[in-house]
Amino acid sequence: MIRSVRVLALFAACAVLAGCASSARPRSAALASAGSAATRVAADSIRETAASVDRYVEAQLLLAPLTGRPDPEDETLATLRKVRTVLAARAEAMAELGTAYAGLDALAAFDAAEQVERGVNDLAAAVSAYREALDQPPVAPVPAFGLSKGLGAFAGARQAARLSQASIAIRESLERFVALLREEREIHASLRRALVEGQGSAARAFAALGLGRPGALLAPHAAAFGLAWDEKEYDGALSLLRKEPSITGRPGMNREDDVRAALDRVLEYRVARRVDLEGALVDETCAGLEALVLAHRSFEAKRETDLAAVLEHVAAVRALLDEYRAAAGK
Amino acid sequence: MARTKSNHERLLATVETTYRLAERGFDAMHSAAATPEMKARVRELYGAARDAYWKAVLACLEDESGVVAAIHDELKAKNRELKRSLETLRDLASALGLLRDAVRLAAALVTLAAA
Repeated sequence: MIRSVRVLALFAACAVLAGCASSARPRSAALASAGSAATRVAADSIRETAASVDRYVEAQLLLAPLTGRPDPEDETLATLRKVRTVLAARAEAMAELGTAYAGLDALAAFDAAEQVERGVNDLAAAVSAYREALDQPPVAPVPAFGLSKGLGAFAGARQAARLSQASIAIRESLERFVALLREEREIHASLRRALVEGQGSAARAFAALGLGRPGALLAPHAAAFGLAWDEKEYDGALSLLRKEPSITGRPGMNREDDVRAALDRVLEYRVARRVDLEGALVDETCAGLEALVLAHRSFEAKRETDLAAVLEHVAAVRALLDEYRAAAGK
Repeated sequence: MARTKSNHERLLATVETTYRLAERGFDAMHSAAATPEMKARVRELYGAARDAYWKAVLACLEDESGVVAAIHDELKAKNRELKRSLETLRDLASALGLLRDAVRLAAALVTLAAA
């Protein structure tokens, strides 16, 4: 009798352990998938800014002979190089976060310990490098991460414990990263606005000089009501408009000037809209990563992992990026 | 970009406003400038506003001193006046005077507030 009770207790324990592992695997896979999605959109958003630095510098160099603006000082160029270095370090940390989530997914799918260990350690190093690029005071180095070898006799329970360990390690790096991002939030939004404003001035200068063809900008307005934009007609139409006096009645101005003035107003609106979107993009990116931290904590506490909040922020960043690119005519 | 002080963002935002006003108003001011001297003045002030902003991005600005706080308040007020003046640009000399004051204040703020 005693023996059969012991056997029953053993079976019950096995069932609990197996249940624990079987629920940990899909939950961690879902967490890894949401983490990858959040990382991808955040990386896209950061890439936009990094590319903007170079475009801004080029815009300043173009604007000098075109509009009379002075060339940027060497000190300003050095500052911009520093900004680019910081953004590159941030992008690297995002890339490593993506790799760490791929490792977590592999650990859940086929117990790939080495892959997640490498991912977590590279992520910690990239976050430290980002901190260094920001000239933040150094902190104690993060000890190298390794999964424990003997976490229970049952393979399932051992894997559940390892998934939890990996989640903790990723989350700790993510928290350090989000704290740095939060601290930089206002500065990041400010420099994105300045970069957009500078690039916008260059686009408007091109339009004022008649160098940018406005087909892509005007075609959607024509197409919205069934008209087809014919690029070939544009030059001929401008030649005719040049012969007509301006609607403003200003001496020496013609209808072509009116077209340029109209285009300039649309460009001005687009620059202002993109400037507005900058702050929202930075906020949503941070909020998405913060929601991810909370999802990790729920997973580690074996509570229901609510990934809806993460995915909502991912969708919001995607929508903002789409609108941002649309405002850029991409 | 070592910024651990909370005031940096507020000070940077005000210097940014000066730069963006200079950026937005540059073409109108430059084409309205009647003499080469005035055009040179517009260019000079624009360059100074831009350089002050980029210097501020990397600095660690702090307004603990009363002098810095007073300059900051003055710059905010000057930015508001400059914005109004640039909206119509009826009086270029007055707009340039406001931009000169704003740029001087922004440069002083960046120098004095840098920790």
